[in-house]
Amino acid sequence: MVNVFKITFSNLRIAAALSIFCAGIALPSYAQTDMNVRLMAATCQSCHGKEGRAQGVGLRLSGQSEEELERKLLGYRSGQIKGTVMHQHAKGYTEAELKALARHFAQFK
Amino acid sequence: MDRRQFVSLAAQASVLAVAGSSPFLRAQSRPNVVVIGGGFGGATAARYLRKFYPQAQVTLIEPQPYFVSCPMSNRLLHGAIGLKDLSRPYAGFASANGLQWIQDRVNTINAAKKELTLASGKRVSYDRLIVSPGVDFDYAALPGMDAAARAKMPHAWKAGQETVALRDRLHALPDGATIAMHIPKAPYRCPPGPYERASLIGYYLKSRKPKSKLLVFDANPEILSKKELFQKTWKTQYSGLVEYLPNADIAQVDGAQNEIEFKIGGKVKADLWNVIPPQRAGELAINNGLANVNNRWCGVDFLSYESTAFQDVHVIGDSISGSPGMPKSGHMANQEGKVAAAAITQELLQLPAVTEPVIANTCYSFVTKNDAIHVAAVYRYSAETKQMVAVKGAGGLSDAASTLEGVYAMAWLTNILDDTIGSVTA
Repeated sequence: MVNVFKITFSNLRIAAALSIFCAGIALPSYAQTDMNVRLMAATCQSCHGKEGRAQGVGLRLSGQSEEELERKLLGYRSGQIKGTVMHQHAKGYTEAELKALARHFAQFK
Repeated sequence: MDRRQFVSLAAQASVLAVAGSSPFLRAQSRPNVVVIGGGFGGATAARYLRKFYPQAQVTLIEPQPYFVSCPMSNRLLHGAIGLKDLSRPYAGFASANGLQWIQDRVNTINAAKKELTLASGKRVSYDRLIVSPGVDFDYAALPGMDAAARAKMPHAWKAGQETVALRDRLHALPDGATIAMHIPKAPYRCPPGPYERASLIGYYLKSRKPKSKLLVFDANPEILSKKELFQKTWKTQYSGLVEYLPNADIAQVDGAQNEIEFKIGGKVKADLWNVIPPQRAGELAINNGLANVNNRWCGVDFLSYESTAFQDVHVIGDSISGSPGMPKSGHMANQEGKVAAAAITQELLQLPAVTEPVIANTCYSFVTKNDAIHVAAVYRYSAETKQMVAVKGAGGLSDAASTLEGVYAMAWLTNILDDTIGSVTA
């Protein structure tokens, strides 16, 4: 009986180890973020670079605050800010989507 | 059985039990995603799969040692850039992104067995497959376009040695020469590309060979993209140098005579012919049953780019049958690669799918050495029609050609190459 107890105890430890494994590795951090925003941000990166760190004047999104990015994106959308092409792109997204993109790219300093 | 053995067996049994019940542990078995073709679509898909789903094992199968960008390759023709500016090595790309790169060609896709056979005879199995084969040329639609004629009349529509050959032959012509171009019926890769080419050959002739002439024979009824902007440039910059003729479908090619006969009547002889042939999905897609739309293009579900012919096979880029108005462009292929990578990630991890993907296109064309124009659009998935639909009120054209847009065009190239394949140059 002592052995059985020990075995059960071992199983518990294995189960505990497995649950740590599941929480720590198998449930990855990206699973908790919204793929809708990640994918939309990824489509911006074609021109604006990884984490918004594009090369070229005026193309960099990183290093700007959420408020600044939101002001520009909504300004392009409403037509208050005129660019060569960005005002044409911004009109393709909802205000909520542009706000989410501003929040996303503001995390990259 | 001693206690240690029993504990060991029990542990294995627990692992199996958990593995059988938990989606998270199942995801740990490292799904095997294979990407065929490392162009704008395939390279982006491979790279973003590794970003979205780092546990996935991603293999890229691509026979060429270098990625070469078609966008901006027309700038080679007048010497603004070289092939090296458009090239990136696959070796550096694979190692920087944790990909396995098999430098080989795929012969057959066995979707039932989920197995590929390569030209070397090697077999490769997959859990999910992404096919990005680009376009191939339908030479059967051009009577007389045999191997000798093809060598004489380069297409230069897949950037690389053909582009260099067209440049060299253009540069070797004497002043006073007649150059002729043929544009195939749509759909073809890069709608504004032929008109950009006409503009830049015009620029070359104006600056180097002003007694020469470029004749542009378009099988389509009109200029298909950025029409007014191209027309304005040709009128103001290349008057007397570039002549455009619509509805000029080829009836017969005579390579020996450097002559082409048109269905509307008339034969045209030129010192140099640039014939861009009619196009369809890449041969791999055609030969393996993926081109199920008119036997030319690949039908896909725009939520995931999964083939409408085979389960667990996704097709992206120029070879898909796009929604009306969706251009075949490098930018679109890059965007489609990301949507496919996200869809595969969500499905394998049993997470909610993206139900309304939005993708965008930006396409720059140079019209002189430094001035460029653009067309842009945003496409959103419609659950009602199951198509990608251009958002009304969004997108548009340049007001006019400008040097500022020329600067943005080259910044676009730098950034999309970095995003697709990385910044490591040869």
